[in-house]
Amino acid sequence: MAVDAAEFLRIEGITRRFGSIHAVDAVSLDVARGDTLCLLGPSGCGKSTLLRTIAGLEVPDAGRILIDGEDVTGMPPHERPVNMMFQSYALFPHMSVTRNIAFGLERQRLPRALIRDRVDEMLALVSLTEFADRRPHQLSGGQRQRVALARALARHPRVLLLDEPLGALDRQLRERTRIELSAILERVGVTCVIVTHDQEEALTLADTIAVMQAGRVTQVGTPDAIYEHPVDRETAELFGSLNLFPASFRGGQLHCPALGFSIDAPAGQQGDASLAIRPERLAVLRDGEQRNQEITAIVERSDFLGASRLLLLRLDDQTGIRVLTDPGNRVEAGAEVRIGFDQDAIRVLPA
Amino acid sequence: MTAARFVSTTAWLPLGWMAVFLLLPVAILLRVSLSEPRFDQPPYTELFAIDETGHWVWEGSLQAWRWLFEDPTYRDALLGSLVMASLTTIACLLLSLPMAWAIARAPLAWRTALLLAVILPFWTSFLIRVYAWISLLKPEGLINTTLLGTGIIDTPLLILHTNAAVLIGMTYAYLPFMVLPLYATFVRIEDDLLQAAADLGATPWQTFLRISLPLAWPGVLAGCLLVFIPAMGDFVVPDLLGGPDNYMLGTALWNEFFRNADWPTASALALTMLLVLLAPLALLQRLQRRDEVPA
Amino acid sequence: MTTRARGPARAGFITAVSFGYAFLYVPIVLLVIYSFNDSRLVTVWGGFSTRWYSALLDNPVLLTAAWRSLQVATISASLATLVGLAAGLALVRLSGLRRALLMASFGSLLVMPDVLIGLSMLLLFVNLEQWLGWPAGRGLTTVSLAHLTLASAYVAVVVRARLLQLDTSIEEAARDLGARPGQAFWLVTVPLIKPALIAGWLLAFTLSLDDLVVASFVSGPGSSTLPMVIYSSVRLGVTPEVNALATLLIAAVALGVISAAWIHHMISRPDTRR
Repeated sequence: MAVDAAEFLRIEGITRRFGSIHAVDAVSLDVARGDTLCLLGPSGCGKSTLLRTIAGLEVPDAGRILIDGEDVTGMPPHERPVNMMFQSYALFPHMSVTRNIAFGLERQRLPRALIRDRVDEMLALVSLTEFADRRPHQLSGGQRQRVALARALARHPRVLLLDEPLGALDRQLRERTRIELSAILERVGVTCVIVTHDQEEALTLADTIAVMQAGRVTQVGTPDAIYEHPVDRETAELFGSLNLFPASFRGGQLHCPALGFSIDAPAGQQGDASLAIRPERLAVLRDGEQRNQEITAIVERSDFLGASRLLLLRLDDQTGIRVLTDPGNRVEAGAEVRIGFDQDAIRVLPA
Repeated sequence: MTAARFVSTTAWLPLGWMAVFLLLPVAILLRVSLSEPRFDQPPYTELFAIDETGHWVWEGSLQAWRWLFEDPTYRDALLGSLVMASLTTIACLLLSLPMAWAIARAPLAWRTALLLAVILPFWTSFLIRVYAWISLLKPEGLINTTLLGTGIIDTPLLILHTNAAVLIGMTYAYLPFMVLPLYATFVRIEDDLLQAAADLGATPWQTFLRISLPLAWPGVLAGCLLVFIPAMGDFVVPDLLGGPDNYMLGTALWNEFFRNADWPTASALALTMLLVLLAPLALLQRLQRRDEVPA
Repeated sequence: MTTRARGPARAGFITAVSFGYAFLYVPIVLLVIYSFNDSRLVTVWGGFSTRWYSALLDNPVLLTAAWRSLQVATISASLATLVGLAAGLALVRLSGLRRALLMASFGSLLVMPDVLIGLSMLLLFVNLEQWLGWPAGRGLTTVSLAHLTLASAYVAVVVRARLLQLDTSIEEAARDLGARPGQAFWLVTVPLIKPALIAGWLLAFTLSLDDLVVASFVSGPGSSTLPMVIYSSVRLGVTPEVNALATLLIAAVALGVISAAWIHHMISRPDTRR
């Protein structure tokens, strides 16, 4: 069936209820062929449930899943052209790495020689050829993750699902693995859905991010778009802390008393809003420096963080402001400083 | 086939088995209890007969039940069982508490050995171990010989074939049934809790009373039920170690069946035992369900 | 550990624990000693002798009964493991009324007095024979069926406990990789619970070998089991051959338990290369 490549994986109105709780609430998403979609959100937002629905491990109460035009909603997991890499890796402890990877191929009753070749291919892909005969308990965490990936790719699935792929790894390993994983996924070219609560994973691995909250998708877009133009406070806070200032629309302008200025706003806007500025977009101004917006504040704390310095400042009305600046910028507590920012650093968010 | 259907289908085996081998027999017990004994196969009367006019006539009888209520020996048996089972439970509890606690707090390497040492007797023949007590408790037995020899007593103590012997035997037989669940409960009380209590000034005894015991209390109750329920109907110990003044439900049922060949009365007795045990059984179920963490 | 009792409390505690273990083992030790006592009398030591062991071998009644018991135990343990496996699975994965019924049934079997189980099983077999013609008469078949029923409850408990510890995503991964639910269970889960199945089998085997009451109710003429024979000879008077038999059983069990524990210890060492 000729289907637009942009809708290779189609999630249509999926709803999954547990009792009276809507774990997934009428979610619709499209993933283009070969793209990587990242479901990003806090625990309990429904992203894992949605992922498991695509895998067939959960049966939705409403909605459809289509892969390349084919409705797979009624298919049990063992019949779907979908494979998943589990958060706990779920390797078969009583089987060697080779047999783990071969398991899915044996279910397809492929000829022995083909299975052997495919397993070798997968082992080479994840650089584990020398570990072919080891058992899972003889492998490190990173190695186990690679086996899980190889196993999930062995059947050449049309959609690959990854559940918190980097979650179980420690900090050091995470960045290196992220890069390797990204390279492998690109090489293989498979359509991918990743679930994560880690914004760094999402920003680096995804072509498209879908932000989820309480069972709903609140924003879909490229990493850049979502970072720069978050649709609400929760989404913005996924990527780091924000400075928020209450503001209100009045007479064609958005007034922010704390910051002491107003900006033009589309006519007809009413009510309250929040102005958001990221701490790293605020600069401590030295004498003579200027920006198009300036405020004065008193330093309450100055914390050295290694690669940066976090300042906590207070305005006259006791509003707190956080500023991320160079570590070398030794500002003392109690000092009065000028903070400058550009107007395009301001984001307007709902109240 | 979905995963749910696979489980559903597999479940029919145990469900069906229980229906036939547990539930059906209880119904049959009821049916037989409404008959009277006779010299035929099977040795109990029919419930229905067809009379001259071709109608079904009820031939059942409440004789067995009436005897149960009227004859004081059955009341004595019930009372005897209740008392003996309760005493056994208390004795097991007193012995098990320190043992289970010691094993739970022992270093990991020791724990397996200590547990195995408790379980090992359980795996050797129950019958034979009870029989061993005969040699210990009889007038010419080891205990009397030792006591006489060391001059503590002048004449042999009459222990065998008394209720005291039954109590000793029952406690001996059911001890592992109490130690293991108590151990399982105690081992789940984290060391951190006990150390925090000590840090805050509690003596070991106070810690036990105020922290460990309240936390362990459901497990203790479960252990008690695990002893009480089977002890109510025990046969082997009262039969081998008990005397003429000992009458319990287990021996009563056995005698009705094997000596008197009175299946209806035995059935009525069995149902009575079941009824008496329904409440403790239900309580045990509740406790174990609340404690859904595997042992 | 900072919470150990000190001084007299500790001494009392240790005494209580030691008494408990002594209480458990004194009769067993005595049995072993008496089995080598040349004299029939308990109080008289007639010298070391293995005559009771040879008497055992000359006792055809005891030997046939032992053989019968071994047969029954093996069959009932093996079948009980299957029923118990299905029951354990159902107890973990089912919900609602069926699970509650299953829990209540198997739970009751574990604690109900033997006389109750024995009598009800017998009545069942009598009636089944009336309605279906099977089982024909009481004998090894009925004893095996009764033991099977009882033992499956124990196996179910062991299997259930082990299943609850398993990572559920392992079976899910198998299904995700193309295994049908039954295949996934058989190829992946069952191998992983093998130790529990073996332990369950051993438990069922021991239970069957040791049962007196249920077997007495449901067996028939000419099919006495070992416990039944021991019981009747004990009732007639203390027979020293029983001591010898007891010692042999204890030695066999001790050997079995210790080797099982040792094997388990060897298998679960993390550096084991396969």
